[in-house]
Amino acid sequence: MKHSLELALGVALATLFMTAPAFAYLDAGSVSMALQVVIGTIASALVVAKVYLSRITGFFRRGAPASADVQGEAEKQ
Amino acid sequence: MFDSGSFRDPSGRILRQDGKILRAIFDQGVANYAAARDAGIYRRAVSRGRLVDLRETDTSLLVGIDPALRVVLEHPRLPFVCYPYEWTFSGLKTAALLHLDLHLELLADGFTLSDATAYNVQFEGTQPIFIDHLSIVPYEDGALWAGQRQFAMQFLNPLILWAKRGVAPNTWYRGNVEGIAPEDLTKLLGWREKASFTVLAHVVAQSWTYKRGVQAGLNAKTNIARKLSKPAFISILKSLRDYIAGLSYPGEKTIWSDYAGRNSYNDERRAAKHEFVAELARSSEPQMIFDLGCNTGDFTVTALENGAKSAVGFDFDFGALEQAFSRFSKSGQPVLPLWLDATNPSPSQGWASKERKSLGERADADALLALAVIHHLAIARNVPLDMAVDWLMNLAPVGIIEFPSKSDSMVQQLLSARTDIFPDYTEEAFLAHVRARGAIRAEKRLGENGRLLIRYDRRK
Repeated sequence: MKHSLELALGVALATLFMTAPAFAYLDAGSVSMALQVVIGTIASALVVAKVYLSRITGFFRRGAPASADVQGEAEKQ
Repeated sequence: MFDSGSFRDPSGRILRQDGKILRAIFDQGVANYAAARDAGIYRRAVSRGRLVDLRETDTSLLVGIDPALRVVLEHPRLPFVCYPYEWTFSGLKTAALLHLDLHLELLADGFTLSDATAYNVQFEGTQPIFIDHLSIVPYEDGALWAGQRQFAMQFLNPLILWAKRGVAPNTWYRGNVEGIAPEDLTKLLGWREKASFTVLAHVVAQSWTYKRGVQAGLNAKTNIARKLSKPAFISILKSLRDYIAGLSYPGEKTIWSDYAGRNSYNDERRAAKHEFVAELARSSEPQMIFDLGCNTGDFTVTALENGAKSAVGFDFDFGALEQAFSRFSKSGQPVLPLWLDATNPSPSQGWASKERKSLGERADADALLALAVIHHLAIARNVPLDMAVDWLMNLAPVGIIEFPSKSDSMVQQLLSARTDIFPDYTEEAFLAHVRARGAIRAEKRLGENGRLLIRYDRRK
């Protein structure tokens, strides 16, 4: 499940670069910077998604709500 | 005067003076240094075991070195300076995790790292430690991660190559001291490895943008100011941390890991060999002992238990080194396992061929163990016996060399697939070469007609 999520977001990232070569006019360094912002956004989404995923799987596994730590982590994002 | 590897950051330089390790901080670096010091950043990182200790000392120690000198720090001396191309898989992995953990802690305190070079990580035993205080700088809102490509080249990409393709990156890394470029690595990865956010983001996409940048060349337009939010910055580091923590050493069967079980000596001989090593450690109490051909570290342990204070274990088999790293991580004993091809040790290289020092320049051992090594140099690699003895004895003033004669089963194995062109490989010749360079303090034969152990002392 976790890997499927990563894969889906990875494919989304790859698709973004295949269909939108909007950074082509920038030099290598700045393109990398622009890319970093995109990576940061996806990484943030992944972190949030993982936290919620663990809450859901935790709920079904233990039949109880996720721990306060996990909840706190999700709220910070 | 200045350390030849510390020139890249104009805010400071490292110097060795009268056995002390000093850091000169210049005008350009003093504001960031004071900010980190006053915010308690250094103290916290030192107390967590992440950062090498520091103490402000008198600037008059370095009077006249540079008019821009503002602060002088003194640092404890590290047992041995090593480079990432000498690290084991676990060494590289723990160094990468240290870098990320430190960076995450710094961000939480409003600071960041100005670069991501792996050469800023050293080891105390198997514990990685960060050594560059001046690359800790105040974080500015929206700042990008300046070290992203460097982190990929020097930590992430070599680990991916190793874990996913089973190829040790050390020789490549040594050839290109800046590490492995994303545009090179991406060609070697299959779709399965690429089907991961980390690989797509830090290898494939980086490679793609690099190529686009190169193609744009002179037509490239000016930069657009970009901002990376702090939560996004932290998420990038955390996702890298998760990915790297999940990488493991490809489980190949090692050449030497079962050596203890199939070599040519029995328990009694092994015990005698341990006792001979123990005598060396007791008589010399070395601050640092080199164990050349350490395998999984059995004899290193004996040396430590009998008076050696710290050790570096060298071997060319990565599997054995992995086991040694795991063993000493668990025991906490001060042993650093490093990769070494004794016939081609790390050279002096980098800028002006001096930035990274050769093994010989860094070797400052007080004692040497060279057990079951010399036949690999002299017979497997055709190094004349006198040259092999010379090299070994130059590594430390006292030590043990084990000499297996041609009748030894391991030597027989080496000779089985080749013509014996080594008429000079004899015990008599070996002893003569040792005596020409020092005294023989003790000898021990392991069983009847077995291997000969000698304890040399080149201080005469």
